[in-house]
Amino acid sequence: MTSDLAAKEIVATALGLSVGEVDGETSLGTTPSWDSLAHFRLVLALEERLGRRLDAVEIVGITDLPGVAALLT
Amino acid sequence: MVLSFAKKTEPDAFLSKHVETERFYLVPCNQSEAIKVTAPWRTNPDTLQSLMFGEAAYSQSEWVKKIGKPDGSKLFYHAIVAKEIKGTIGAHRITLDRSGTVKLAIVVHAEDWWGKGVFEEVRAGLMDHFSQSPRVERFFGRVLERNFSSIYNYKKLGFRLIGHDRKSWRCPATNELFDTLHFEFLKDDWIEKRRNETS
Repeated sequence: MTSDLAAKEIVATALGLSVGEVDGETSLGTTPSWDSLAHFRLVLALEERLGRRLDAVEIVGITDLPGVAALLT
Repeated sequence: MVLSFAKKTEPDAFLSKHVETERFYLVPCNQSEAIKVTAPWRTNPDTLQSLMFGEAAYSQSEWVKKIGKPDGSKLFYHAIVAKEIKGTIGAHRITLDRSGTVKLAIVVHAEDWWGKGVFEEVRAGLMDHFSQSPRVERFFGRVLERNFSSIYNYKKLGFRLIGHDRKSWRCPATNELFDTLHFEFLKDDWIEKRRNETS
């Protein structure tokens, strides 16, 4: 699975959306379902997937789909 | 012998005003009111950790000292009163120093309101109000690296990450060291952002 697809799936699950509803425009600032609780779920899901704690700079960079995909690369 | 007396700080008539947002009244508190609205924080280790306070719990007398005396000039507490339920759901703390830096902290203790954009609406309302004062130059917030919700909120409002202090806060409950993040928003940038949002 590519990191882009994996990122879409993780973001979709955290935000309660379908994978088809997640695209390059999906972001913390523009997507209504990306609220603080969804963000919390997203960070934990990424840590589970990567098998490690994210550091502070990585956490701050989780603001859009490309940012999530970059962590999975 | 020379006796010196601390000069009494006069409240700032403008900054001491009530603030109203779409869903909330932000009501300035005196010391006894601040102690009352922050009472749920005093023995809640999660809340105290998110505020990076130095103890895992406070006695009533310790809490009175910790809260300090809101003077309407350098220290402010605002009760967050939800119009919908006519009740207090949290509080916001602000300190304003002589350089014009406003330090911000918020706790929403009513869990029913978590994830409902309280932080964003309350903080934007207070930043709109305080940015009208000539005494204010910038807004500043410091959060723990694991406080994902606060980090989200700062990013959502457009704050800029300006610092990452490694192992800079020791949790009194666990003795564990945490990194902290510093966020900033210059007043002029905030005013421009809000102007752009409404134009």
